[in-house]
Amino acid sequence: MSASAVSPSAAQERASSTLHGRVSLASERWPEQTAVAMDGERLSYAELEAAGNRLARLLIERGVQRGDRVCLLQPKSPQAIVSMLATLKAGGVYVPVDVASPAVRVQRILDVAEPRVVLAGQAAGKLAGELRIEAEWGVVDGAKNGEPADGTADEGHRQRERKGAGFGAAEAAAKDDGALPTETAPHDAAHILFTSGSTGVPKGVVITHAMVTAFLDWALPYFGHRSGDRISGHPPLHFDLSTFDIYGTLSSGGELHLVGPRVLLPAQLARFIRENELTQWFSVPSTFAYMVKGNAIEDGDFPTLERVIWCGEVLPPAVLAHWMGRVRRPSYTNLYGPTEATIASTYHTVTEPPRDTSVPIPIGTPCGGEDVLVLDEHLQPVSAGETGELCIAGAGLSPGYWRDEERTRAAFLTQPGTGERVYRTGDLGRRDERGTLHYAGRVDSQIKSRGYRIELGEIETALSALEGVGECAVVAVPSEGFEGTLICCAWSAKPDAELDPPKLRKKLREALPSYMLPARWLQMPELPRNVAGKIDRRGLKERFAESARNA
Amino acid sequence: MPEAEIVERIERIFSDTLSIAPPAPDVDMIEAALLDSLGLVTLLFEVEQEIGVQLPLEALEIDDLRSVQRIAQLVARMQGSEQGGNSKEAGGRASSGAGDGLVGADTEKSNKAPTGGAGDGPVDSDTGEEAGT
Repeated sequence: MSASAVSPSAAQERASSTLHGRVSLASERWPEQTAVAMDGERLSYAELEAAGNRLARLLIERGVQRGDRVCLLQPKSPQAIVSMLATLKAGGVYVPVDVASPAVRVQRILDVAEPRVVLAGQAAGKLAGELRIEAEWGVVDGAKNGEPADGTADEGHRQRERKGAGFGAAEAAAKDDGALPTETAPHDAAHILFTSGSTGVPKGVVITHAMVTAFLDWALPYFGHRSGDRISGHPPLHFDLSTFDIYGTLSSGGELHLVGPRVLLPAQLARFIRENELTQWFSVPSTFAYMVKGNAIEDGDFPTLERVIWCGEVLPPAVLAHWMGRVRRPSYTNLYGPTEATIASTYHTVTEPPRDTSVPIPIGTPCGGEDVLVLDEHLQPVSAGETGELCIAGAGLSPGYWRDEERTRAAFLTQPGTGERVYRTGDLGRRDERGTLHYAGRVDSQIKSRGYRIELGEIETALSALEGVGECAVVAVPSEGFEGTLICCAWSAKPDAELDPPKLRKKLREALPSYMLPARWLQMPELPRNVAGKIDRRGLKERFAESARNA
Repeated sequence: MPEAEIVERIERIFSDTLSIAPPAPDVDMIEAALLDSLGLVTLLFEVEQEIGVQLPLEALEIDDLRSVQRIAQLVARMQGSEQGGNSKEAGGRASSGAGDGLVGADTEKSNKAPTGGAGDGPVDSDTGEEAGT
């Protein structure tokens, strides 16, 4: 063997260091098996790989280079998975966008992401028509059964003509489907997930290949993924959770069953699990509760299920007890973790149905390669049993927010003692004597004022209950004075309400202890809203902070 | 509650919680693929909480949920039957092993702490951050 030759195992190792490389390895091993299925449409591993290679060549031809963004304006579909893989194969970074979002919000994401190419689905044709797209864009999900179902493709077509450039599924189909060389390094970005936050400016979390492969290296052996697994794809593709569905399945030879747009009712979700004989169901707790409430789960249901996993919210123990009582075979695992550390950072597998449903389910212990610290406000560890902020360190950490130094610096810090880089989750938690972590609410809704711990939400609830109050928002602003933190309230009165500020304060005094009473009041005709339509708390905070400085 | 007010409240949930521009009341949301099942779950739980009504999830037809108008009609119907004291009919869930109280109360808890799991969620809590994973 010559010195320059790459040994097969080295090539394999290199392929394993990227997400698309792992899918390619699986495609070599299990070409005939189903990779992705939805609504009767199926792609085998060989087909997935070939379609990805063809579209990647088209992307490269249209200028995509290593590190360039490709925005995906596509509904959940096998084609959307092909688009993700094609982007990675071309060296690019995909940005999945929720096609149901208002055009204003999508526009902001496009403006910030600066994609080289936009890959749209026909269903997003109307949305695309409302956008100002600087990049080249094309429609990649060729008309199903020949003809589009409605006028959206025409709309897309008109757009394309107006833009002059653009491409369709036919251009990709004409490309060569052989493997492409890849220059991607493990710490290159693979995708950027935009979360809306409260400020109206979308926040893009950069997720690298290495972050995801580190999670998979723990998760796949832990959960025992294998070829032939039939795994749900329930969360939308712009959710971090879907990353595990996609790459967990497609790197281990399993079938990814995407839950399509017509599977909506509790009974339909249950039928989906049954008829596809799923081995893994992974979703958010509200879905679990929804299925219980809809009484969709029979006794002894889902006999093929081996793993039930949830993440993203707190699962009510009563809901878990119901599931475990009726679906007895699978293991039940709670995952916890923010997008900033991709998919999950801790896990807790529940072995017995909860008997006392008032005891919350722990978030557990760190996943392999991750470290979770419970820190005080000076980033010093608190003792076991004490509540502090959950901070994450280790292999899963994002390099930061896309082109947002300020937010990155605010959220990703260096722990003074160890010099370790940590992400502040904004979640409170505690570690018990046995080392198990427990979730204890959000940091930002809890403040300390004059030594008291105060939940801002509690003040808002009390205010909203008062007659005549239309809307209200309570925010905390740091102050120089002895209070440490000023509680500030913006509110509006209902149209016919006879309510003035002194009256309101008097009424609130009857409902709350004095240390919870806001110190600053601002009556407004209506409260300011951000682009997502939510009350603009950050804007209000800035306004109060300014007036506090001027005072 | 008059239907027009229910429609207004539902529209609020669309913009506040789902970050989706509220569709016109008669738009077929299912056809337009505006909501996937996760979006629908969030919408229905929010409707229950915001308007204080129990929806008969077990007996629902997809047609009941096609548009904001239809959902508002369903809510109005449920309110009507609850006021009429015919609670069995209202829930249609008398036989449900799940039991309303069981999940009802706890679901509320979980929805109030949507960020509970951290970082990547769909559902924005009103405190602003998007529910994480």
